[in-house]
Amino acid sequence: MPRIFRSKTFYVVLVAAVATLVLLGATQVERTSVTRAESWLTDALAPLQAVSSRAVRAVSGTFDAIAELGRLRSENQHLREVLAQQPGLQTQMEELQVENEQLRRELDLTKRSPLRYLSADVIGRSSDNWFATLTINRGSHDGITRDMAVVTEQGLVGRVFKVTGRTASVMLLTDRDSGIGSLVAQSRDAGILRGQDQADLTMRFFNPDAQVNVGDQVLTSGLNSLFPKGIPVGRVSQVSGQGLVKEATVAPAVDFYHLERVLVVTWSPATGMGLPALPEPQPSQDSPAAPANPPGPTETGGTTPPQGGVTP
Amino acid sequence: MKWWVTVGLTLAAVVAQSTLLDKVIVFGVKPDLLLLLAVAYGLLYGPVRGAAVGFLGGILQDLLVGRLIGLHALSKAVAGALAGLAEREVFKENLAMPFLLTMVGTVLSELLVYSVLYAVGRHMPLAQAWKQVIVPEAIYNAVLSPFLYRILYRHAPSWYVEAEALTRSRSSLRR
Repeated sequence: MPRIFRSKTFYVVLVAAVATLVLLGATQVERTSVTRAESWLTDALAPLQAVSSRAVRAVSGTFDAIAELGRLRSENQHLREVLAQQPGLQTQMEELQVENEQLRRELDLTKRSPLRYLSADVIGRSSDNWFATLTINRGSHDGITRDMAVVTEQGLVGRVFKVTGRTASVMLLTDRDSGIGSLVAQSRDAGILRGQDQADLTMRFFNPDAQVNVGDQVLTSGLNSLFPKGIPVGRVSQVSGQGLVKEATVAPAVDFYHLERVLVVTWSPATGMGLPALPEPQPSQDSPAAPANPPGPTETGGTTPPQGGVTP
Repeated sequence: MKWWVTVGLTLAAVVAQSTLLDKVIVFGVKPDLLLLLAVAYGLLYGPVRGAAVGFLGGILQDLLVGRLIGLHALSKAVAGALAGLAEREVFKENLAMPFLLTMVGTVLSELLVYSVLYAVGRHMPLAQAWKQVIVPEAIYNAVLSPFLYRILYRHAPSWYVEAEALTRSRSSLRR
C-alpha cells in the first residue's frame, strides 16, 4: 500500500474534496431557500459589513471632498458673481418652492403611483470578480421575499435572489445569470435583456425587424411577471445583428458602482407579490414623497422613483 | 500562528472583501484577499495549512454569496496547497516568491473557477474571462502579496522562524 494512503491528511482532504463537489452539484441551480448555515453566517456578518461599509464610505467621501475642493472654490466664486447680479433671485426661488409644494400636494403622487417601496442600505458587494451582486440590510423580517425588484430613482437595479432574516442579496442586471423581459419605449419592440459581466447589457429582440435606434429608452416589459412594467432599465447605445437575430447594447440607467441606497419594490399591481396586506399608504400633509406608515421602518408608498417610466 | 488568529484574520478578510475592496477596483477588478492569505499561509506553513486556510476563507465566501457553494473553497484550497508545495524548496525571506506564487496561484485558481462556471452553464468566452478577470486579478494580487506576506512572516512564531533557519543552514552544509 503506497504511503500516501496511510496518511490521515489524505483522507481528510479526500472527504473535504468529495463534500465540496457534492455541495457544488447541489447548489448549481438557483435555490428557493437558503441553508441555516448561510442564513446564520450572513446575519452574523451583516453588522460588521454595515460598519465597514459606513467607514469606507466616510473615508472615500472625505477624499472625494478634498478632490472637489478646487472645483468648488471656482464654482463658488462664479455663483457669487451671478448672485450679485440677481438681487431678486432668492425671493423668486422661495416663491417657486412654495408653488412647487402646492402643486405636488395637488397631484397627490403617492396615490397615483401603483408601486410600494422599502428603502434599504447597501452593506456589501460581490466578494469576487465573477458575480455581480450586492447585499442590503433588509431581509425576511422586513417582508422581503425572493424575486422582488430592486430599483433606484434612476431605474432598475436587479432582483432579490437570496433572503435571510436581516439581509437580502440582489443580483444586479449586469450579472451573466440575469435575464429580464424588456421593451423599447419608442417602438414597443420587446426582447430579453441579459447581463454580460460587463458595464453594458445586451438585449435580444423577439422580432428580427424590431425598430430600434441608438438613444431609445429601454423599460421592463412586465412579461416575465417578476418586474412591474415600465421601470427604466437604460438606453440603447449600439444596434447590431443581421437576419434572424437583432441585438442592441444597452447602457444601464443605474450607476452600479456608486449604489449606497436602493428601494425594494414590495408590492405592485402587476406582480401582486410582496406585502399585499399592508394598508394603503397615507400621503403626508407636509410632503407627498414622505414615507407612509406601514410596519416596515422605511416602507414608502408610491414615491416618485423610478423616473421616466411609463405607468403600467 | 495561533488558530484563532488565523480564523479572525480570515473573517476580517471575508468582511473586507465584500466592503472595503470595492473601493480599490483597478482595471475593473478587485484583489482577492482570501487567496492572498491562502498562498501566504501555504508558503509559510506548508500545503496542509495553506489548503485549510484557503478552504475556510473560500467556504465562508461561498456561504455569504449564496451561489455555487464550494466554488471558492475548492479553488482557494488548491491555490493554498500548491503554494505550500513550494514551501520546502524556496527561500522564505525572498519577497519575489509570494509575488510569483500568488500570480501562478491566482491564474490556476481562477481558471478552476471559470471551468466550474462554464460546466454549470455560465458561458463567458475564455478570451473575455482571461482579459477581464484572470490576468488583471493575477497581476493585482501579485503586486499586493509581498506586503501581506511580509506582515505574516514577521508575526510567525519565533520557534517556527528559528526552526526554519536551522533547516536551511543544515541543508546548505550538506551541499
